[in-house]
Amino acid sequence: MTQEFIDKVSSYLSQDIDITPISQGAEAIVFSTSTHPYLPKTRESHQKFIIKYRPPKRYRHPQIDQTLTKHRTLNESRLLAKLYLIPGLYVPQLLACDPYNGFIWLEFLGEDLPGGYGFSNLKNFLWMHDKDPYNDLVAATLHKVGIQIGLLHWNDYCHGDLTSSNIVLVKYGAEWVPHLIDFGLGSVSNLVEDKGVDLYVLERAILSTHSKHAEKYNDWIMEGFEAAYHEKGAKGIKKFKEVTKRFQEVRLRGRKRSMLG
Amino acid sequence: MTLPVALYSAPDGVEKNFIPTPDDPRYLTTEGRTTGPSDHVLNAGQIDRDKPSDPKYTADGSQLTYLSQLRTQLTGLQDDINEFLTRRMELAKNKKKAGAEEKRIQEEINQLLDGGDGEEDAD
Amino acid sequence: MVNLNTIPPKNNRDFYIAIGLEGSANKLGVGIVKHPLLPKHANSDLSYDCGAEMLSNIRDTYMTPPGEGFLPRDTARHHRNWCVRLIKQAMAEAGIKDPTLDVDVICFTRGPGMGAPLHSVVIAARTCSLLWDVPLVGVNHCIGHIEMGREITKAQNPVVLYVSGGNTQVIAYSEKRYRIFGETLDIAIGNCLDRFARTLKIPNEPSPGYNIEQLAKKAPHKDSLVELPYTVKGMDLSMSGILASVDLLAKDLFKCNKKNKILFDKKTGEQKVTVEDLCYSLQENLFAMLVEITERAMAHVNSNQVLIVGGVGCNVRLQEMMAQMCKDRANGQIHATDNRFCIDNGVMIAQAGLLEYRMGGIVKDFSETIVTQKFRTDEVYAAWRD
Repeated sequence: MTQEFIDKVSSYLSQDIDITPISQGAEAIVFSTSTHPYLPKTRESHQKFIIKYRPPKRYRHPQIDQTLTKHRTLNESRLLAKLYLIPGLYVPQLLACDPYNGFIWLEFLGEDLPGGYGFSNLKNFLWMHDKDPYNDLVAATLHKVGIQIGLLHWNDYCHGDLTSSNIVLVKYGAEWVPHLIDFGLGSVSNLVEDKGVDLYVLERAILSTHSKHAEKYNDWIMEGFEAAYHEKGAKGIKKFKEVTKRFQEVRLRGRKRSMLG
Repeated sequence: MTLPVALYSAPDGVEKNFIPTPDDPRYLTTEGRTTGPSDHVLNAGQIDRDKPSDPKYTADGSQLTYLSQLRTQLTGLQDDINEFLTRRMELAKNKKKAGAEEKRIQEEINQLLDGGDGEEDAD
Repeated sequence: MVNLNTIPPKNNRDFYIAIGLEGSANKLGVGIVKHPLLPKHANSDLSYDCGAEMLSNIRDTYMTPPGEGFLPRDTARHHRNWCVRLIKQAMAEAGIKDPTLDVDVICFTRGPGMGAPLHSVVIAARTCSLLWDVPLVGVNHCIGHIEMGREITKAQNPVVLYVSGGNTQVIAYSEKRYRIFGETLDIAIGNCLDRFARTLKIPNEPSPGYNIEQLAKKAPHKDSLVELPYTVKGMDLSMSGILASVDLLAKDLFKCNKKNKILFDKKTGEQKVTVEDLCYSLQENLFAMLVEITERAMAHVNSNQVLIVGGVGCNVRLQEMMAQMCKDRANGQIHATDNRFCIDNGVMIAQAGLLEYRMGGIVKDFSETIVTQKFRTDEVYAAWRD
């Protein structure tokens, strides 16, 4: 059970490091801590950091488990380090990583939404606005989400697991700035196929999680996605057409697939 | 009893009625000639355990029961229909082939004529 | 508010009776289900708790020789020639004497599935409907699996992993529909296992997947797995690349191709991997992917229940892995059914069809009974759910 993992993490990190479990995702358990992995502790500091831990999955063969944990932890760290340097693209800053044990230390992002809607990821944000889904704030935020994905693809990176839970909103004044997280399945790729599948995965995730307003949501995201490419001039417009064309093909493949018995 | 019938009609105007002949042996069995297992599975060593059950006779053994009559007649009718449709499909296929051949010859002739014209024009 | 008692049972009975006919693939199933008429169903979503009684559940599988798959034409012939016998047997077992009085609705699989076999069975359904003057309801095969699983396990709102010969989907309910969160991007899990079984030329009886499972248990080198591609994309997965790799390995093994360093020792040429090892590695790899995408969906929708349905859901190793995953999640619960209900059957069609019937959904014209090979789970409006 979860407590078992908390104890394990605690003993691995040593008792001096305070940890508070925040969430258990499918792949990782996320903790917050006030301890920086290597900078000295200052008494006034109220800074928080994230420790992301990929526990061993006992259901799968140890050989598969070790390979995946190491690969994904390392992969995520490498991608985050590179993506953090791209102007205009927002991802959490990588602080430290231990791929063999499945640990990553990150900058803390996001906050709790008002009214008990939980942590400020896109999913909870959209659920919070479920009663008034088509307001300007939602439209603007989703547009910015699209820009982030557009920038990611323009720079030849794919996320691999785009869902509304994997986009964290950070509040700056009155506006929400989307940050992409969870790059465990990410990749460096210039293939339109990978980008098409990325968009298809997101579209389906929105459709299944936010069914009622999915069409409009997806439209806004794609508008932002287009804007990011158009920003790059003629070459961007050309690439945008290639990606969206393939996206439509992937989508068609999905619908056409026969579903026998 | 009234005989089961089938009516076929196609957009090209072809119409056909199918009526079983009660005494003909092909309307007295449940094992149709076109409704057996496919050759492919038989060649792969399939043992046919999916045969339709045999028709049943009335208590005095004098004739087939009502439902068995219907079943045997429908089996024959199905054979008639399948054979008819297979012929129609072959006909359509041959027509298409013949059409393609005719078209090819016509095109060849046209090409020769065009070619001749072209050379003359070029001069 | 959902009212499952919209249509009262026929003949002033205090219970409903439905016959279900299933034949979308190589299994022909006839099942009869009884629902008591209960006041509690008049105003709540208790569709997982109908108090269903299975009066009969009969199945016959079309079998082919080793190395052969089932062809539509021969499968349709099997269903055609067994359908009446199975219906008669099911009715006798359930003690139904006069279907005109005793049966409320006839349910049939409308899709998805193979065209010809679906067609054979719907003709039987239409004939019975006319013969007995009983209404028809068409059922989506996948919804049949889900509703049967919910009724048997009493899982109220689970994430469903649907794994069978033709389907691999992770499904969760929201807003009157069963939404597909993840699915295969190419071939289905059962198809992948069946095709590998054909490469190995192992018997199709009782099912190719079962025989792979038995071989995998006997793998001599469980410690060192043969590495195969691991292709999870978000909540989707891909399996064709894995099948291609393992097929290639099996062929090299049969040809005794000593150049293959994965199978044979570099220096001694000694065989390192057996057919059983390949089966084991394939299962471990595929099932790890399935459990992973299921866990992803659970985390995404904040659910802690899983229901496994479909033929591959009988696999004990898959159930074990899923159970372990649930154990490691806070309050995780796993629900699975045994092979009476996991493998395609008639009662599941009767169960889902009867829910639809009780909400007032019946076929009004035979044109609505046309079967369809492609019929996505999320196309069905689940009127019986809240």
